[in-house]
Amino acid sequence: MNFNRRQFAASLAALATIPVAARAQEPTFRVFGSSEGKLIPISLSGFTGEVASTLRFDLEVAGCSIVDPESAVVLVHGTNGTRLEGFVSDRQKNYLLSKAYTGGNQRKLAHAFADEVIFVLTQTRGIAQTRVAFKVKAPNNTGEIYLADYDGHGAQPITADRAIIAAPSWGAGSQWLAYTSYKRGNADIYSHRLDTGERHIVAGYGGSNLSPAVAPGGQQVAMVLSKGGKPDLYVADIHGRGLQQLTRSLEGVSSPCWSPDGQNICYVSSDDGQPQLYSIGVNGGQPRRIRTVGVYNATEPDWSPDGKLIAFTTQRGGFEVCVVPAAGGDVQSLVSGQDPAWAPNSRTLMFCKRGRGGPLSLSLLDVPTKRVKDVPVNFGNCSQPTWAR
Amino acid sequence: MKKSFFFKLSALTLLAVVAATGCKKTPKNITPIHGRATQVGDQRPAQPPIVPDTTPAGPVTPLSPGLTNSTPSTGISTTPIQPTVPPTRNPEADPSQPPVELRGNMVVDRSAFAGNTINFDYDKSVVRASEIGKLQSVIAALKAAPQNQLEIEGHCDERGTEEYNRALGERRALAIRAQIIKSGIAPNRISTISFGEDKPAALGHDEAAWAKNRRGDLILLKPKN
Repeated sequence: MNFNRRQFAASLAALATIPVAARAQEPTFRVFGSSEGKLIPISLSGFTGEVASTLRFDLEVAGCSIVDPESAVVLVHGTNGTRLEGFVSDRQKNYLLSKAYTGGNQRKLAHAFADEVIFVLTQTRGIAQTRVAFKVKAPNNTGEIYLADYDGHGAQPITADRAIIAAPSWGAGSQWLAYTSYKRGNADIYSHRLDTGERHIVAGYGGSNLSPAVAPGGQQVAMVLSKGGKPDLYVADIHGRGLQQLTRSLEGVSSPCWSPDGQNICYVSSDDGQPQLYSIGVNGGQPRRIRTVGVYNATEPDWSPDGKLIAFTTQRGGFEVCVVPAAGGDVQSLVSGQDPAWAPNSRTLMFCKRGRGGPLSLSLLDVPTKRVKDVPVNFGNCSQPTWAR
Repeated sequence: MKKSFFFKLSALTLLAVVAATGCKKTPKNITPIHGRATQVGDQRPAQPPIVPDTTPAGPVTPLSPGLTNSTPSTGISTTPIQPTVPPTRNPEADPSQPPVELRGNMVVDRSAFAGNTINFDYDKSVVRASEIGKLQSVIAALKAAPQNQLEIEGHCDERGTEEYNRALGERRALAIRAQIIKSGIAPNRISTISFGEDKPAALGHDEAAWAKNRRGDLILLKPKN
């Protein structure tokens, strides 16, 4: 073989230099994609008390693992007193974030810093300052709707119905909620403004008025009404006007949720025998089955805000939280539990789990890494979480 | 001959370079979960921020070393963010708890048909043939007293998911209602309500308890006085 050495060397050099050049332009650490399924090793130092524990919780929920500085890709450190000073640096002490936070209580400061740390690491918006609503059930089976920070702190009731209550759903802009309350003796759907406490009946028809789901734009509510003789899917505006029936099912439907563009509604129907996921246009038409390959029943769907996945519950022995591509396909079973609700980041789920016969409690799941962190809410039976988006 | 060999070699090299660098940018083994470019807020820019009802962002002081902070700060307000939740205001006049359970103008009588509860198979809303007999005395009583009405409560065992069970309980109540209507009772005398798994008749987590909880309770409604 008669190699042209010069040419060969040149091509080798080309192979070698391109990655080097690319590395030189990169930041000193790599931005972490959310779909990698690996925990991000970081170190956490300098903070004390509630700030330290809040930061640890927030960062772990977001997919970080807290490790020694020697194994960390970035060092998160700082101090907290009347103000929080927070830094993120790489191991060469290049500062990626340095900022002071004032005002608010210690938890709020920690949440604000945690969100910015997550933004530095992943270039996506954090969820540490978001809120959730859920149902709290008393031993006598009545319940109230509660609001809380996403980590369960600051929980407080917004209702005082002392009646069965169910299925809270946030309105757009997080200024109101819809839910079902049995306060009048019937299962009625209410809208509830959070700033004034004012509420109105969206649907109080004969039969049951169930499972409201507010559309992403906040102008419409999907719900399950039985006034037509079967529990079927309806949409109306937020005042209950312009009611339209979308399904005429044989066996009834349940648990509607919206696609993020507001054009489709995913719901559960048992018309094929087992409860399965279907999708229908907001103006009706032919329902489309969303195939869930690998499981035989599916309930409680929730469409991710980025539109890509539908989380749902399947039952085989116990309950399992699963995800499936929104167009249908192979199911990924994530964890034991039920009733998943997406965070605005389309990455974290809040769901319920129960010990056998015990009360339901809330947990957070980081979908790519399957990391579960329990929500420390300690007043009994918490279920049906819904995330303010 | 020689020339074409080197031409091929350099083409292969170029291909390898492109493949190597191309791989760096889009790893093949990404599972289709969420793109990191996804910014939820960008899709709905019209929405107000999550905690909008507070004072403007407080001052954020940049600190000394190595400032590389490019993102605009989100700061924290100085007032406590937690709003006190105002008391609930209902559209209806709030009655003080009445001594007897009422449904509109009707008095609720839970004992009249307490022995006529209809039981169901797991995840089914069909009234079994063996259960239909329990409805005969109910139908007779309704025919004898046309001023009375019936409320049917649908219930489930704890094994389904919550809202699925709420719909299933309603299907059970509606199935019983359809059976009674077949016997000539006017549809507007029979209402339905579902409690899903919220009101179990038997506590316990075995088939014996579950079988009792999959049921339709029949409630007699009588006019006041």
